[in-house]
Amino acid sequence: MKIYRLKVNGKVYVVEVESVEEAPASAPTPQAAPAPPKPTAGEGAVVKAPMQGTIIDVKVRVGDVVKRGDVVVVLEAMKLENDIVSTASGTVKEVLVEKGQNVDNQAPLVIIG
Amino acid sequence: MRFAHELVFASLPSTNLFLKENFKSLPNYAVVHAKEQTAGRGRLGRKWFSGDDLALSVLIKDALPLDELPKTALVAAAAAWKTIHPLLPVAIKWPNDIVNGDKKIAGILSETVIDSQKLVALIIGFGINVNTLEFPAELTEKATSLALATGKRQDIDSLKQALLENLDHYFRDFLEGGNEFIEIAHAHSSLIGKEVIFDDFKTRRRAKVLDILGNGNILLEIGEERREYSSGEITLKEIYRGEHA
Repeated sequence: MKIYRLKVNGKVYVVEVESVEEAPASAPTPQAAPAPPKPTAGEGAVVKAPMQGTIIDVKVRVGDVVKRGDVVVVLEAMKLENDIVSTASGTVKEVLVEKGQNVDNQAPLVIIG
Repeated sequence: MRFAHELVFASLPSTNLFLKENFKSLPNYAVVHAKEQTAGRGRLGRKWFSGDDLALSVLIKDALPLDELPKTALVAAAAAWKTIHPLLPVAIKWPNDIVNGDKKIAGILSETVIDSQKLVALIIGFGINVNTLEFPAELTEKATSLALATGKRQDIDSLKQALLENLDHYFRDFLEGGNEFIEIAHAHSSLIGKEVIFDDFKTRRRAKVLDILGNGNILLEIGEERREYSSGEITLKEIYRGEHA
């Protein structure tokens, strides 16, 4: 087992890495990490805030049909007005923010079903 | 020179809006210049008055890390300052204005499109008041133009060329990890040392501006506390409230 420091998008993660080749041949095949659960009805694609900021416009309402790439929310942050686009095509199931609201990085904004 | 692919329009609602609607089909570093803007915009959806001026936006499609984006506001401000400074001793009002005394002479509106936590397009719009001689009554106290301030008309195309060259210069400095643009934003700030009203979109508070930092943030002293902000609205006088020029 080796410990590495890994930098992803500027964030440093400390990870433990086990070499598969060093494992005994008889060892059971390591199980793959469980796949992320598939969205089911009632869940859906969550559009998240890419940074901390203030919602200055909400472009969609529950029930609206959106395409991947459509602007759903405008977030003011870091002196920039950021158009946050839908990561999926579908129907807007939930709008979790309103104009004027401050949101944290990675906060869920809109759920597309 | 990066910013060489130029589209010139006689009239557009807004050069930023045009790029937001067409960035997918346009090349990286495309430039849009409108001789007239019919629906120019400032920050936070404010109207931008457009006269015989320079309205120009550039498109950047480089995969810039999101946490580096605040610096691009200083890159743009440094380029605008450098362009106007030979004609007039202007200063930079953090984050996105160029002022002559207490009157605004240019503004910058930066917008992005972000998809799945990645920057898809960065659009930087410049509005420089060049040859406008009369502003609407509500703006006369807070806006000026190069022609009004220098007493003579200025050549818009020469200013445009200088702006694009300066932007190219400071953008390269930014990409190479330099700090020339930060030094300009710091040395020519109209705010450092000033008592201001700071609005973080929740509350308005009296503050003293201590510094413009290398990461693009502003350092304020609020009461006994020193705090760094990446966004917000600075008001020097009540006159700055409401619509911007």
